[in-house]
Amino acid sequence: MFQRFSRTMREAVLVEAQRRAAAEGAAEIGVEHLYAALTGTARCAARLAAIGLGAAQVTAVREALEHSRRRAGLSRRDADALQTYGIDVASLVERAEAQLGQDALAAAAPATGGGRRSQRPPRSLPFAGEAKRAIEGALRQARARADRELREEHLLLGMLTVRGPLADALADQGVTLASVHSALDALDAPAAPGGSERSA
Amino acid sequence: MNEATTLAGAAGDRDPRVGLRAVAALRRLLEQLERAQVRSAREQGWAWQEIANELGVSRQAVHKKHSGHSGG
Repeated sequence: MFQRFSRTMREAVLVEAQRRAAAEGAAEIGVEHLYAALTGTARCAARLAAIGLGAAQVTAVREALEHSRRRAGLSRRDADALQTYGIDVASLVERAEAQLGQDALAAAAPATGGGRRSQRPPRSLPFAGEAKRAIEGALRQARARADRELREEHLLLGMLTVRGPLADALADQGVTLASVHSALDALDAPAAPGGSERSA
Repeated sequence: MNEATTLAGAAGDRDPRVGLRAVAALRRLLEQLERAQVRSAREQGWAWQEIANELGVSRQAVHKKHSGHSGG
């Protein structure tokens, strides 16, 4: 499954995703760990910025994800959809936390101090279902673009194919399948044929 | 997209994307709230059977789903 990954992707991003998941005490590597690893790898930053995911977007997405985590993993768009039925996610979470404690409805990894689980030694963690789908999506995207090697842009595209708070947070920053594909098309097209800067 | 579809979308009441998104979101919210309430009940000394009765499911179902989170 990983033989098409570029060296950076294999040796930095996948390793880092594993490390982050283990450090959080997560049972699986989630798509958010893949994303954090991708955007936290310095060697990937320039390529990501070139396809619309610059430092400002990375910060905004990180904040949106933290916001979602505390709200059962719901994005702003999810909350808006529930609002059309009169369900106010913010006040629901607020009341649940007042009743049951901070982070009562937080998604995924247990917050510090909350759990009584034993310390497990860091070992090779499996990929969660949606992380697997992101990787499969990345492989499909690389194939569709006729790229031999799976690189940053393919993993980002793969993550965008998985619905959830990450794709929503990215979309709020203007990073979508369509935007990344058109950025890549623009990068692929050399300034050579019939350049528009020359008029005669 | 015709005008009627656009209007319906703007009203937010006929667009299946919004409705389906709300369903999926509600499900996630429900799962987290259930987890938090079961944990709280266990911490207050409730038996699995009592929790199951309140939730309207079998003891086995609630135990299987939640026992990993309650340390007991």
